[in-house]
Amino acid sequence: MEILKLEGTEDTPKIMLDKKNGIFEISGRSLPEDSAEFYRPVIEWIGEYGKDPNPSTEFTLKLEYFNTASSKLILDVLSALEDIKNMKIVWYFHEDDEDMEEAGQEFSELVEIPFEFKTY
Amino acid sequence: MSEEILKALTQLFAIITKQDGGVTEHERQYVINFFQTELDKDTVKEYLALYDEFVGYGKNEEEDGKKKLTSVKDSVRTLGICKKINKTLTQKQKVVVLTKLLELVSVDKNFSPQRKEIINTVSTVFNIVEGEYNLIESFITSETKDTLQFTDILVVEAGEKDAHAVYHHLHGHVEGLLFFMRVQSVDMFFVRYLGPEINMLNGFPMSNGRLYLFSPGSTIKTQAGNAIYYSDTVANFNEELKTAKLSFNARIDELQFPNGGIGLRNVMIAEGPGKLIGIMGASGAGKTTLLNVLAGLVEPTKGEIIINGFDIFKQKDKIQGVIGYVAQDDLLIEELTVYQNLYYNAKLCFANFTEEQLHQRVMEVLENLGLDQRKDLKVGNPLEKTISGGQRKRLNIALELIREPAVLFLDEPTSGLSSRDSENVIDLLKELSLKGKLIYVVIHQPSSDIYKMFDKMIIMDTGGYPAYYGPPVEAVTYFKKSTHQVDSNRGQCETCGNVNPEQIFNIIEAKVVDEYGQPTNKRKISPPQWFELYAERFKINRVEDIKEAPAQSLFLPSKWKQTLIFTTRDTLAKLSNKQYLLINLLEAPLLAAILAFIIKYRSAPGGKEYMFRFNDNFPAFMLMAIIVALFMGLTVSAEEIIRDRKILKRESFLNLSWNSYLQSKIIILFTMSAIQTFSPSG
Repeated sequence: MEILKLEGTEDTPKIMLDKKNGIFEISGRSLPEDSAEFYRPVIEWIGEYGKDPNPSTEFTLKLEYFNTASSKLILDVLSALEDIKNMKIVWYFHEDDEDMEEAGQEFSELVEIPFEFKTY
Repeated sequence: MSEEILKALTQLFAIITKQDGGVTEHERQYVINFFQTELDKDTVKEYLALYDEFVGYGKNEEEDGKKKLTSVKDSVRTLGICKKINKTLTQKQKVVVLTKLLELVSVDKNFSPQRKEIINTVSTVFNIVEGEYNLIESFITSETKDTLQFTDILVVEAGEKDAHAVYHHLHGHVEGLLFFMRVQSVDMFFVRYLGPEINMLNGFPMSNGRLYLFSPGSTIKTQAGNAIYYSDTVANFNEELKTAKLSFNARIDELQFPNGGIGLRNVMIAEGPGKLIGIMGASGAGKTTLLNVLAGLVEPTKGEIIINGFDIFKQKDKIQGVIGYVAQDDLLIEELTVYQNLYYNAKLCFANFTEEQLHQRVMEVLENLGLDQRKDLKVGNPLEKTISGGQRKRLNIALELIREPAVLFLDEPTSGLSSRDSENVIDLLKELSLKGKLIYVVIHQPSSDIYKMFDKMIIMDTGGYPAYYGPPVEAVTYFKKSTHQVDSNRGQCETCGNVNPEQIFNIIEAKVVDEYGQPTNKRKISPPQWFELYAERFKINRVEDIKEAPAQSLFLPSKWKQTLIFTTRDTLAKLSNKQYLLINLLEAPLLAAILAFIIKYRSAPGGKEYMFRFNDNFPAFMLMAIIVALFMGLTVSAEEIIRDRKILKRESFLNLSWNSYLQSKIIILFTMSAIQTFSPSG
C-alpha cells in the first residue's frame, strides 16, 4: 500500500500513514478550511488498509488543538478504524492540557476501540 | 421530551452560547422560554441552574485579549450529545432542534464564527444535507429578501415578483416581510414575519422575527385581511401541480329519488387539479348520493357536471377513464391472491402494456400501498381473514389507483380501520393530490389529524342541503361565529393544534331545549336555515373550463380479449377454491352412484347379471339425470352471478363489456356442466 504523508501546517495536522513500517499518526493542529475535504484521503486510506490490515495496529493521535468541524472528522476516522481487528488508539496530550485529556476520554466513549492515554 | 434529551439540549445550548463572549441576557431569556414550554416552574429552575453551570454564567472570564477558540473538550462533547440525539429523536425533531439552535444565536445577532461552526457540525452529525442547512440558516438569520435566494422559500409580498428572484412568490397585502420555508427532507414548513404589523397564525399573533412551524391545516390572517392557507402554500411550492390541467364544475340544482324524495339541492362545486376534498354530513344528509352524482353514476334531475368542458353524462366517451370510483364495499375476488386481483384488473385496463410492463406497474402500486409483502396471500373473505381489514381496503383502492385517474372518488375509505391504517390511507390520497389529482372522499368521524389534511370540506345537512364549503379548520370558526360563540376565532386548540370536527355537528344539530331543560327533537337551526347562511356567505365561482381533453389512462382490450381474461381469471379462482371444486365435481358422480344403487335392476333374460341395456328404469334414470344436471347447473351459475354483481357494477363503470363477461361465464359453466354430466357416466 502507498504511504500517505502530509506535512503539518499552522492549520492542518501532520499525517503519516505507513503500513509497511507500522506508523499510523495524526499530529499537530487541525483547523482546515474544509475538514471533510482534508480528511477524505485519510478515511479512504483507512478503508483500503482495512481490507488487508497488519496483525495488530497502533494508531497515534497527538493533537495540540482541533476545531469542532475537525472533531467530527476525527470521529469519522475513529469509526473507520473501529472495523479493523486488533486496533488500539494511543491518545497523547500535553500534561497541562486537561481539555485534550477529557476530549480523548469523550472519544473513547463514542467508539469501541481500546484507548491508551499518554502525556508528552 | 425525555429527561436525557432535555439535558442534552441544555448542554448544547450552553456550549454554543459559551463561545465568543459568553451568553447575553436575551439569549439566556430565550433558553428560559424554551424550558418553560417543556417543563413546570420548579423543573425549569433545575434545568436553568444546569445551564448556568455549563455556560459559566456569572463567572468572571479572564480577559486575555485573545480570541478564544472552542475548547476541544466542548467539541467532542457536542459530538457525543448529537449522537445521543440521533439515537432518540426523529429527523423532524432534529430539524426543529436545529432551528432552535439557530434562533438562539439570532436573538442577539451574535452569529460568530465559533458558534456558526458548532451549529454547522451539529447539522452534519444530524445528517442534514449541506444545501438544506444553508437554507435553514439563511431563513432564520435573514433580515431582507435578498439573502433568501432559494427555491424552497416562498415570499408573500404586495408587489410584483422580482424577475431575478429564485424564491417563489405569492401575492398578498403585507407590510414587511412574510416568508415560508419548505424543508424537503422532512416535509415540514416554517414561517417568519419581520415587520410592524400584527398578523395571526391560527388565531395567535406572530412575534416579529420569530420562527413558527406551519403545520397542515394552519392559516395566517394578515392585518390587511388576507387569508393564507396551508394547502395553498404547499401548492405554490409544488411544480408538478402547475402542469396538471383539470377543471371540475358541478351544479346540482336538484336530485330527485325515484320515490319522489329530494336527495340534493342547490349544490355547486368548482375545483381545479391537486385538491383533496372531504365530504361530511349528518346521516341522511346525502353524502354518498353527492359522491355518486359527482362521479357520474347518478344523473341529477336538474343540473350538470362538467369536466374540462365536457358534460360527463352527455359526453361519456370523451371522459372515459378520467374518473375513478372506490365504493365502500369490497370488490375483491376472494379466491385469488392480492397480486392476482390487481393483475387481472390491470390487464383489463391496459391493453397496450406488455406482460413485463403490467407486472412492473402492479408491483409499483403494491409497493406504494405497502401490500407487496402480502402479494401472494389469498384475499379470503372478511370472516376468514388472511389479510387485515386495512389491507383489504388498500387493495380496493389499488384497483382504481393503478390507472391513476385524474379525478378519484372514494366512499368512506377509512371506515372500520384502525387510526394508524386510516392515516396511512389518507396520507396516500394526499400524496396523490399533490401530484395533481382531484380527489373527493366521503369521510365519517375523522380524527383531528386527518381532518386537517383536507384542502376543502363540503358539509352537507339533512335533506341534501349544503351547509359549508371551504377549508376544514375554518368550518369550526364559521359555525361557532354563526351561533355567536365566544372563542369563535379559534378553530384549533392553542397548545396541541387539535381540531374537533364533532363540534361542528353538535352546533349544526343542536336541539331546542324545553322549559324543563330537556332537549327536544326540534333543531335550533333547520337545514334550510343553515343553507340560507351558506348561500349568503359562500359565493362559489366556476373554475374556468380547461379546453384540453383530460388525461386518459384507460386502454380497454378488445371484446374477444376481455372474454379471454374473464375466463382465465374465473378459472384460476375456481381452481384455487378447493371446497368449490370438491363439491361441484364430486356431487355428480356421488349422486349417480347413489341413484344407480337404488334403481339398479337385475333383469337379464335368464341371466344373473345386471345389464344396462335391459334396465327398464332407463328412461326414469335419464329423466333424473337431466333434472339433476339442470339443478346443479342452476345452483352453480346462480351463485356465480349473484356473487359477482358488485364487481360487475364496477366493471360496467369502466365500460368493460357485459357481453364478454357473459360469454366467459357461459364457457366456464358449460365446461363444468360437461364434467359433471359425463363424470357419473364413467
